[in-house]
Amino acid sequence: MKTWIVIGGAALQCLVLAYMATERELIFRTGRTIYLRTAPIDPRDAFRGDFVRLDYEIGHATTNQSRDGLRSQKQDGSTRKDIKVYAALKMHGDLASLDYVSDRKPADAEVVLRGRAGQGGANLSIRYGLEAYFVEQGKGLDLERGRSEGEIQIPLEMEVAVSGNGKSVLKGHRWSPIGIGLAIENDEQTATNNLSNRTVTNRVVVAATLTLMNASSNAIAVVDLPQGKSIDLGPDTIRGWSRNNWAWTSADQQRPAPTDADVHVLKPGEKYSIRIDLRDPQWFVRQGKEPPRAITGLGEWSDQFRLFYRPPAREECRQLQHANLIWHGNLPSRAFNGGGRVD
Amino acid sequence: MSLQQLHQWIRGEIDLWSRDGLVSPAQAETLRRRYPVAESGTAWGMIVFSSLGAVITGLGVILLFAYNWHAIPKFAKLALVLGTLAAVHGLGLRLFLASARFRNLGEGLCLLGTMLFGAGIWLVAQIYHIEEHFPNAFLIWGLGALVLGLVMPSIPQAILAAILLTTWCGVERIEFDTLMLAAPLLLAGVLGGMAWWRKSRLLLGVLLLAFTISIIFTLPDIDHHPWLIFCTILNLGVLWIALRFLVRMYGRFPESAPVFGIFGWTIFYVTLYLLCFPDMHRHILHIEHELTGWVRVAWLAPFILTLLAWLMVLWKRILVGNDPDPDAPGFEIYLAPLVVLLVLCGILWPATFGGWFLSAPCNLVLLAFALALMARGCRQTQPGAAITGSILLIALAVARYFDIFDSLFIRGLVFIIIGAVIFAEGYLYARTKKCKIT
Repeated sequence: MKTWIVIGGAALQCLVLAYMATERELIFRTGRTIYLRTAPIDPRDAFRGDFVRLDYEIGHATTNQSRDGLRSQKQDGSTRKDIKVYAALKMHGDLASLDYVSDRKPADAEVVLRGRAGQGGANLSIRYGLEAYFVEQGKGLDLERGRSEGEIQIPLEMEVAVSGNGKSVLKGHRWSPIGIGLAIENDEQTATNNLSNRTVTNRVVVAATLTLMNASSNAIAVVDLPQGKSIDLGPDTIRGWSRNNWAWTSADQQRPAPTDADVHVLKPGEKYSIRIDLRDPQWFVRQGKEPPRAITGLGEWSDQFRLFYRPPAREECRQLQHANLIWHGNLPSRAFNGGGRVD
Repeated sequence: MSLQQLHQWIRGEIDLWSRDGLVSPAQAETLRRRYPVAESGTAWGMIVFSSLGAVITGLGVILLFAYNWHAIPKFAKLALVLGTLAAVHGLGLRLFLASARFRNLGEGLCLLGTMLFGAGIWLVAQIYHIEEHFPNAFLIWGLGALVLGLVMPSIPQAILAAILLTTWCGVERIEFDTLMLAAPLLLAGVLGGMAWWRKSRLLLGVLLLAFTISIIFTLPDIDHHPWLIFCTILNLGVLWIALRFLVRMYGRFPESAPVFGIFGWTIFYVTLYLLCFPDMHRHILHIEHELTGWVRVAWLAPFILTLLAWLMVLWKRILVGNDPDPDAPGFEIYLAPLVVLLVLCGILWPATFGGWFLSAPCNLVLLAFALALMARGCRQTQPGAAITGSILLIALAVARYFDIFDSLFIRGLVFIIIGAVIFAEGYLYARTKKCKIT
């Protein structure tokens, strides 16, 4: 009897390992595959060797993206450090972005990811257990350095298998077929300091140029709707920590239907730029019921914004000549503020 | 010369007497039975070397897997680690269960198996890029070692379990601010029971250290109440001292007394020395924020336990007068619980006289301990007590070097007196030893 108990104790260790591996392998093989955009950070683990730490866009949720119990927790600022949450994702092709996050499992979401959340400044910071990507020793540095062409950044997209209950496994990675760059035009603005009664000159942002680059080895088409309507403006929800709740005034405006003249086919390595004048009322922002105002010279440096390249949906482009070449993902620029500072 | 060595020497002599015809074979046999020699002692060499070998080999395997060769397919890596784990455990258990001769080697191989189990956890995490709450890996690893330690039963496995569970508790606290009370409960309840049952002083020593560390990791709200750490360490130290006396009077494991004694007195002397500085009372040992329910429990539970244990010691040693310990120290030991009460008063009352309200009596207590230990060391020729007393006296003089003795003349005088006292102690110690021998 005692012999069998001792053998059982040792067998238990083997079974625990086998269970851990089998559970993940099942998700790896049968789970739905999605891609999540991320930024690689660093480092090395004493037990597991080199790995790249990943900071996902869906790892940050604003107050507006928090639902159910999380909403009330966010309002009284009492979010605990480690609570179980479910992220409802919406798909843009195979690329997923965060729709909302809740402490209850969403019934209506296309894809659900399970994670653990804690307060991260003004936002919720969510960990999905996918934040480490282990690589052979010495190979992590290439991923950390990322791919960039001058000012153009090419995002890293992680391949993830998701099970029905929201558990997930990292499968691999790819680089986005489109890179994005942001150039800011600044001007000088004079103002009087109320305390010292002296005139000071401040740098302010007046315009921005968004550059899209074909980073793939095939031709890709981008869509530039008239008056910059392929571009959205929004507060930086990815890494921003401002407590001011800015909203873009033109967020709900109808966009024109795309025509062949709006479509620009880019050869591999070719770039296309779109310039927007941030003093134009089309690009104004507002807070609550306050009157709309330009980002130009907006006071607090933590009030950061991003431009998003958001081409029309696949259904809207179906009749176009180069419909099959159009990339339908959603691509954010680097963050910038009213003082012309780019992150 | 140990008793075993003495018996072996006498047995050698008996063989000579028998050969020379001084005693008959029957008489020689009767004499031999009077001086028994253990057939074989604990094979400590085997245990230590096989355990060390297992731990180092296991760490090597972990680092080897950490290299993460992409050339090896993931199923090959999994098969390698699972196969090696099963093979090492299989061979280890076969040797462990088969014969007493290879029992220790088998135990060492099983320890290597548990190290490989840990390597396997990290390897699976690496293959599937798992980053879910990493302290759980230490918990699973520790529980694996704990189960095997209990069912075999194996002291090295239990020691590994104690280290891993303490690491789990610490990582949870440091990285996630989570208090894992399960860790000290498992250490005291399960592994403590095993140490008691197996009469293992080594495991007990590891557990006392692991328990003290894990209790500190589970103290609530230490950002607002840093004094709680100090009080808990002091209370535990004084509790271990009380247990040092109680285990000699009760229970089936009186050999554990020196282990409790070493840990208890070391903790006590260090904390008492820190209490000699008035800054301790001024800056740390006072309540600044409101006490929550859990802070009260964490503070008062070890305090009450310590006092109860000392009441038992007092009752047994003084009122009943039943102390089987011939080398038991004198009445100075009762100053230890007194220091616990003094600290309680210090925390409840604000730091007066620049913190000297608490530190002045603690200086006197430390001086009393130093002198008592030096005196006992000389009287009973206990070198440990004499050396500890001398160190405490020198440490006290160093502590007061700057704030009491302003003039260099007095400082010099104090050091000359202390030097003379230590010379006198050496002389008295040597003389008492000579008297005992003659």
